[in-house]
Amino acid sequence: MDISPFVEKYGSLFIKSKFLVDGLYQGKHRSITFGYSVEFTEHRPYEVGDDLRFVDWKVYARTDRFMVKKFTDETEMDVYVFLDTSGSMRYEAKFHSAILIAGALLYLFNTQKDRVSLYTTSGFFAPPTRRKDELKEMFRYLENITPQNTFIPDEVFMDFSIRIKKRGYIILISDFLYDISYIERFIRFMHKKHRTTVGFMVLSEKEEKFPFSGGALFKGIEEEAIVEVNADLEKRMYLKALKEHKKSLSNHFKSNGGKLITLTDKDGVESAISMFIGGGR
Amino acid sequence: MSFLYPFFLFLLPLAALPLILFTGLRGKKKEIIFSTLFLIRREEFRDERFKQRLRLWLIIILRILMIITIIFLLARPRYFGKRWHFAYFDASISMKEAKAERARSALFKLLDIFGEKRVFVIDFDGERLFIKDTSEVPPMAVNDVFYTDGRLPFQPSGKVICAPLSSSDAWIHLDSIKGGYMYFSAFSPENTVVKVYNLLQSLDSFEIKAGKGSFIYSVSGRKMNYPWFFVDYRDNLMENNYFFYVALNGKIPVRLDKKLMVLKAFFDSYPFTLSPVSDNCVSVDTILQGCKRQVVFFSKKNRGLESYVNKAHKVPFGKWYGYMMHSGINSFLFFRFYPHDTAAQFYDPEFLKALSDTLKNMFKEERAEKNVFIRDVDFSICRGPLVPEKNSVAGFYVCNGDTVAVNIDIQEYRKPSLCKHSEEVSFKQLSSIMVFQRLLVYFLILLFVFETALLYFL
Repeated sequence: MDISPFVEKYGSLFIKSKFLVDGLYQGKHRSITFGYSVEFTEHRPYEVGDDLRFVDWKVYARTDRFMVKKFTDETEMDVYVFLDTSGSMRYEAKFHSAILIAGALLYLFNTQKDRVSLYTTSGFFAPPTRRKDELKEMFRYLENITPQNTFIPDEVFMDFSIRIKKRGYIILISDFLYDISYIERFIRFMHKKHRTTVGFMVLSEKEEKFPFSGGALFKGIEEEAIVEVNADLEKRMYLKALKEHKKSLSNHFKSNGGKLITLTDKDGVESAISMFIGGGR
Repeated sequence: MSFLYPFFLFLLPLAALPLILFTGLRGKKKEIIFSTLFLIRREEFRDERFKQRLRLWLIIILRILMIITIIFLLARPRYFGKRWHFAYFDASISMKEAKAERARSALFKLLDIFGEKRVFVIDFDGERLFIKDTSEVPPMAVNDVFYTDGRLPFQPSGKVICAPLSSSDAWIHLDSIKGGYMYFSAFSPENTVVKVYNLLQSLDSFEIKAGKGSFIYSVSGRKMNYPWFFVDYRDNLMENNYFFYVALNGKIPVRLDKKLMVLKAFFDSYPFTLSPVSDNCVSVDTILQGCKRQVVFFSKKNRGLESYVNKAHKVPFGKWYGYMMHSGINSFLFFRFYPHDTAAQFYDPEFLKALSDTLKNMFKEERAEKNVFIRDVDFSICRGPLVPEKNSVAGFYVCNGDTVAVNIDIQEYRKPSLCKHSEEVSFKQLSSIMVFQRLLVYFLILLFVFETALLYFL
């Protein structure tokens, strides 16, 4: 999708992402692991083997009990942003929203000193980095990319999973309008590897509401086939299928420790990012 | 099955509208580029797809049926089977000689037209009264027949109506679509009327009660554009018997000026020197002493009686005064006197005959050209104050006080074509129309419910 008009209007994707993130993100993520830091979290009773350096002697003086201090460990993370650049994302303004989300998240995590990585289904991969110049390179790529062709989910997810070296966030931005089993396998695998997967399901308004009527010949962007349907009749079933697909997808994300955020091209991406930040991991 | 308004059936092609719209709107299939066909025409929805297609066609069929039902409702279907016609043959004194013969021949003509078994004849000669083919008397719904509660004045209600058969005293029952009442012919002796009533009451669902007293003109609905009949009952003191009359709501133009002139001449010239015919009657002199000389006209405006009385619609009328009311149906000449017994003058037979002849002659010429004949001129008396009916056209009077009012009712009827209506509608058919209408309405409601269910719940 050509986003140059957008860029002309709002400046570069980088600026837009900064604008999005600065406005919304006010906290910072925390690791679930506990370690050595200055930020105290809680006490726990002393156990044999605990380092005596962490015994809180003041508590001992007051209560005559050995209590060990626990601290939040602030760690660095690798954030892998997976962007679907297949032909179906070209439909309406889906890709526009998708790259805005991608850009915003890249910027967001980079701001937090996390290492960010970008992977697209068209084969582009930028390894995890914290460097601004490399981040800008990613943004330049995003500004110029055009969604096209199709991709084989199994192969792409396999390739993507090989490239994920460290644990952290994996953010999938796609319409997810393909066989759910590929995604399910991928996020289950990632979950086993202690990676958290979050999905942004970007749909167009027409995909969401199916506002067609009468007899029609439907042609997919990625498919060669033409399907003849009565849109009035098909609408109810399409919406039902979409609802089930979303539900199933969401369940897979949730059961593997992640979550699915859905949005349409008519919604602002701010709300989606806000949900991502507000909802925590 | 036949239809009262068959021309509505020409609208039947409209029933194809839903189908045309459905197929027409589909037209050429347009090509839609969609992101992916992943969710379209999925195999697991094959059954559902079939159901949806079925639902769509059901809705189209229901809409077609709804349009057909509405057209049928407008066309008013009716039962095409037996037609029942009632004929009442008046063999009273007034029907002697040539009139009676004419009526009989009309009746026989009817029998020929409709078939003897389909005509229900109430005939009587003197005291004897009989019915032909009583076994085939059609059932009549209670609500379709007028009834009274036995108290007077009664107001007829119901939907069975009648129309004059010819200029004779033979009549035929008719029904009509928009209401009206069953008729009875006029000027029957009291015992005959009672007999007729008793006879009719013995029939299934035929409730008629007789009584005596004054009458009420019900004027509501007069502006409707269909023949409007009403049956009324009153005590005719002149002949001391009961009679019913039917008035036809034909718009008969009456030249009031001319009428007034004739009446004025009559009253001016009539030698009111008669002596009372009984102890209840008083002399003309007495009447004149108590009279005010006023004549008030009433037009067909929607006003009460008092509003006219109080206004300046007063015309000197010789030595007499009264209210003259033109209703469009009949001409009513109301004379109002104080005290009431002065009205007795009007019962003087010679006076009445002279007045009657004058009125008849007056209207005869102008009616003859318009297929209207004067049936008779009748007189009635009522004691009580003139009570205007609110918002009525003709008003009415009720006798419960001291005022005496005399009504001179010039009954005139439009000569009917030989029962155009009677061939169209009979009691049975009226009943069938109502049944059909009801069924169609229920059917329409049912269709609507089904469609709503299909559209929103399935």
